[in-house]
Amino acid sequence: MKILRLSELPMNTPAKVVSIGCDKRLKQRLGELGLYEGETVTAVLKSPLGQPRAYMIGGAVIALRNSDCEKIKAEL
Amino acid sequence: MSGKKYTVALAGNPNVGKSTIFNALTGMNRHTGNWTGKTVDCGGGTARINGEEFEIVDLPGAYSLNSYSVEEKAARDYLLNNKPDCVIITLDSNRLERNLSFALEVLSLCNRAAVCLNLSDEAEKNGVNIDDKKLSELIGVPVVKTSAVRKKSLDELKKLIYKVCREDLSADNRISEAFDSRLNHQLSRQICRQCVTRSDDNKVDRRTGRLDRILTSRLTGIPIMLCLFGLLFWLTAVGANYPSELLSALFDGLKYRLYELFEILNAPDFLTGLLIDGVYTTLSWVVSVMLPPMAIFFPLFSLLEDSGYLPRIAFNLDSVFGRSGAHGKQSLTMAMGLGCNACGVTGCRIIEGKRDRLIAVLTNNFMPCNGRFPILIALITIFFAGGALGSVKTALILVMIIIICSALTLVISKLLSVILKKENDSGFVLELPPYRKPQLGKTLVRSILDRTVFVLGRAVMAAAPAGAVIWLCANTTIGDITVLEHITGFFDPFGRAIGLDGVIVTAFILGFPANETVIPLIIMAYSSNGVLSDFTGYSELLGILSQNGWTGLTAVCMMIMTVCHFPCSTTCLTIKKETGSLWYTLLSMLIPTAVGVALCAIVAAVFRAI
Repeated sequence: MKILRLSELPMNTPAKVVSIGCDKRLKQRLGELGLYEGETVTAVLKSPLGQPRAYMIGGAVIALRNSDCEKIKAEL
Repeated sequence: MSGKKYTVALAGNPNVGKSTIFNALTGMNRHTGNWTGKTVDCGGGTARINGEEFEIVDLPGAYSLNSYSVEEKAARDYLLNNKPDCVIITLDSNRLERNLSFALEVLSLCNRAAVCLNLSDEAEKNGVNIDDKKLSELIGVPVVKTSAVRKKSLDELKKLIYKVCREDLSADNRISEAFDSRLNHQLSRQICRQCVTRSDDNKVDRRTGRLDRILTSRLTGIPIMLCLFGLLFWLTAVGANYPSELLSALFDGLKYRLYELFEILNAPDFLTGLLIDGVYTTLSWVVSVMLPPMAIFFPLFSLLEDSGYLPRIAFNLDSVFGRSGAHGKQSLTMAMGLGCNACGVTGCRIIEGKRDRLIAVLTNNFMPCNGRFPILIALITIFFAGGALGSVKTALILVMIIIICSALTLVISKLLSVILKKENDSGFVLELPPYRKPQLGKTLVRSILDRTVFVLGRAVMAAAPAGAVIWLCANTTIGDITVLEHITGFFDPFGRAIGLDGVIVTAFILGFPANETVIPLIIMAYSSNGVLSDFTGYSELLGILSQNGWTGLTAVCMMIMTVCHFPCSTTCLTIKKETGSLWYTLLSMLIPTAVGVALCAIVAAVFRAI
């Protein structure tokens, strides 16, 4: 059991979201996309320039900036 | 029952093929074109079902109805205020769980609805099997499976629309309860558990994954992107040549017929000059130079758009934009700007944050639009890319120009982001939808009808009066020289100082209604007879320009000014509409002009020093 920031998750390894500490608006937006505590996320793509990375969330691929997912923690 | 026209609204998440359904329902009967690859306004059209007319409204794609973003607010307001007779909730069958949350949210607002499980063929290939009867039982509204490739499914959808509209449902029996998005999410998950079965075979997702590993990889992602744009420009430049010449020959022939006609009618010289030499000649220039590149560029661009590649550009480049204090989606509005800046400015609505959106609006003009491309192509071809492989050289130089334009955009964005107040961050959230095979025929027809005709129409509207004004300026004399010569004379010292001349500066100013008129203006001002000379090819253009003292420096400065000067009148009006501020509109004119003048002055000074 290891708790990591979303931006630090190894590629292609599913992890369970444990906390989302972003500001309200971003949290709301992520919720609409199906990112809640307890959901599974997988980092699937990395931009050629290092960031953003894209995550598999609720069956869709969503790109997020590292700065935006710093406050999201997931459990490996 | 006749007299009442039913209203049907299409609602759904972004990227679920809502617009495809809209197009299929309305055919050619629509009032608005969908420009930005994403509906930002409510589009409208009519469908005919069982002999009755139905008004179909395409709502902007939204993830929820929380009214956080412009699209969501538009969708919510429409549903609440207009109370459509039927809402078709379009869902992506592949991502039912998330999509269903949205459906439940819509259903909490209105009960005259039906659910359309779109992309059902793709879902089947992906091993997703949905029990539509069960789903319909659970959510209490009819459900139909549709797919763009199965025509039969569309008939079923039409039947359903008819049924829902004609049904005499008592007025809203749903109470809009306090809406908890998390509970909603859990509910949609429970529903999905009961009606979706999955096998492990997910062909579509795997194909998308494979493509993404190539198209967004560290090694090949950006080179492939540049090659694609290079190819796009090359096809546009090469393909446009021949039809362009053909059109201009055609217009030329027609012109002599018109002269004859005016002679028979005994029209006064003034009228012949104003209408044929002024209006008609400018019009025919604009059409023959603009139509072919647009008719090639827009469909090709639509193909890229429909394939799902554009969001990958934003994904590849976001880090660069982030460092400039801008939003990755700005790369998409820039790409739209290549087609038409007014459309690029409207497209900026896809950027959620106010400040980021303003930056994208103010800098969009640095991307040369289709009205300015012909100027660049002409100058490159005659001054820098002659001889064998000329078209390849032209395309390469164009790609280089676009890279320079992008760099300029980033620098200005950075400056603006420092000046403008930082607001509450809404973050960068970008969905990368699966790659889809574009529907070739439909895409071609639609982009030609919607985009090409639209932009051309606008250019023509601007070119006709501009042609008249130019002719009048060139043929009215005050003292012993024409008005045009007065104006060009006035601007000459300033023009010369920045590597141009008075004629070019005047042409840019008079070209405010449409950039397409800039080159015809220059030619008309140079030809002493005050008549726009018949343009038959680049070699003749080169002749006229070099007779009037053009050098490589003039061409370079002219290209700089082409990219960097105030936006055309339509774009300015759009900026005013989008920002609601005269100050920002003026700023959007001032920034590029100042940058252009400064760059030209520097280039001219450096060139003269060596």
